[in-house]
Amino acid sequence: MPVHRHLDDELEILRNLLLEMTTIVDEQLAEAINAVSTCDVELAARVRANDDAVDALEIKIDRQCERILALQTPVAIDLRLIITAIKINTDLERIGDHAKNMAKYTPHLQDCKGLIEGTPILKMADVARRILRDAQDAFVQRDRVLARQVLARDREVDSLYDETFRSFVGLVKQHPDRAAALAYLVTMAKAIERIADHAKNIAESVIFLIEGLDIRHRGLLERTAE
Amino acid sequence: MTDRLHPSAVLAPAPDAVPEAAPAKMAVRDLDFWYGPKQVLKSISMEIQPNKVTAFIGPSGCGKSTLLRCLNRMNELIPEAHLEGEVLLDGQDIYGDADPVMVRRRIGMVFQKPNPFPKTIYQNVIWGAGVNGFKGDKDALVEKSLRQAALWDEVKDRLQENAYSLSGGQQQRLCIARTLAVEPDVVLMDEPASALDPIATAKLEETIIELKKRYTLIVVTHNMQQAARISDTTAFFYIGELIEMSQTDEMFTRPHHQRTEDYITGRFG
Repeated sequence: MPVHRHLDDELEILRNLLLEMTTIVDEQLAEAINAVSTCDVELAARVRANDDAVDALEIKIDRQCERILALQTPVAIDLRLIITAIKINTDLERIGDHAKNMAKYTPHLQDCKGLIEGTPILKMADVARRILRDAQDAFVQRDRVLARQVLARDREVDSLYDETFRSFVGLVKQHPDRAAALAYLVTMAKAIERIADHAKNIAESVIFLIEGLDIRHRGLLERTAE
Repeated sequence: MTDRLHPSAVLAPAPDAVPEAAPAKMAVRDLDFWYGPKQVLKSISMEIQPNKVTAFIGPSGCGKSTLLRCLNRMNELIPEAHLEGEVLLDGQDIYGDADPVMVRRRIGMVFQKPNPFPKTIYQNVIWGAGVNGFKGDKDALVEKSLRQAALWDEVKDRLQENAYSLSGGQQQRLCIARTLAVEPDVVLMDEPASALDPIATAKLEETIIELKKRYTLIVVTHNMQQAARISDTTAFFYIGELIEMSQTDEMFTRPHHQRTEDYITGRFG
């Protein structure tokens, strides 16, 4: 017969905080992409201002994890949830920072709509966002299959980044007068590529949470085994 | 959303969960045990590694203390108790033709409640050795045993005082010293810290960890954090069955069985 545990109440608080964090970060990323694609400086300013909410939530989640570890000494699945929460929290906060930086670059990209549309950067941003949403859903629904799909799709963003980078090289040659704007776009492309990496980290954490399996750095393990 | 493992979940073994290479110090094979008509242990098989601490955990009535008592034939003293199967010490069956006194000399036991004799500290330590015909240097044996039990520094100037003058934690370490004085191979401990305060418990736990350099220890505990802190291997029992036995760090991070997880996370009703 299941018993009520005070720990369950504490974990529920943690889950709700993480849910709030995933929602805010997803919104931040969506609005940062919109700001870039429409060159909306006001929207970009709002994204930058909202990053404080992400940071505050990061501290709150860490504090809740610290409380649970200190007071409840969780083990097994409960312990894995805390470890996962701490890691996902960091990944989400970093994604928030990347969204903020994308917003920060937006004012430098006025009159660059044509340039932006000439690269796959917006496509790359959309794919990265979809991957992030899938990783978040995998966490919320404890869906290990979806988590594994995220891992596979990260490569899609990597190859889009390569494509974007190559297109920038061509554009710099064609429009040497727009070199500064293109430099911001390259930095932005890198930020989007990093967002997908963080989404992949989240998916790896979800697999650790559900299966107790650490699938990070497989290459390192294989080299050590050799 | 639920935290529970899906029944089909297969947890990955920890990377360091390699089988122990050393031959087992003790082994239990297909052990069944009854108190009268009631079967309290069902087909238990396990191996106890030398110079390790093995913790037995499980809810009340799961059979962990009964199994502990089977490991040095203490249950024989109970009327209508009946045992089938084998318990081996260094490959030799401790039942059958084995001398129970010799078995209990090689496999000592420390109980839940400190039970010193109403004698001096010195007499308490030397008592078992004397019964076993010890002819050597008694003072040296008392000092060695008390040092191993981490009690020497606290009692070296009061060895002739009555053991009852010691605190509960000191009395428990005195009982450990008394057990060690007969130079056993294995020390069994039945909830040895349950009557102690946190400081005495911490000291006892350090003593247990220190003792495994020389002895093989098996500890029954209700305190799961204690099992996690002191043991190398943990065995989880439920209604007379051994559900899971694995390295302690694996048990407390990635238990393989849902029932183990429910118990160690406190979800048992």
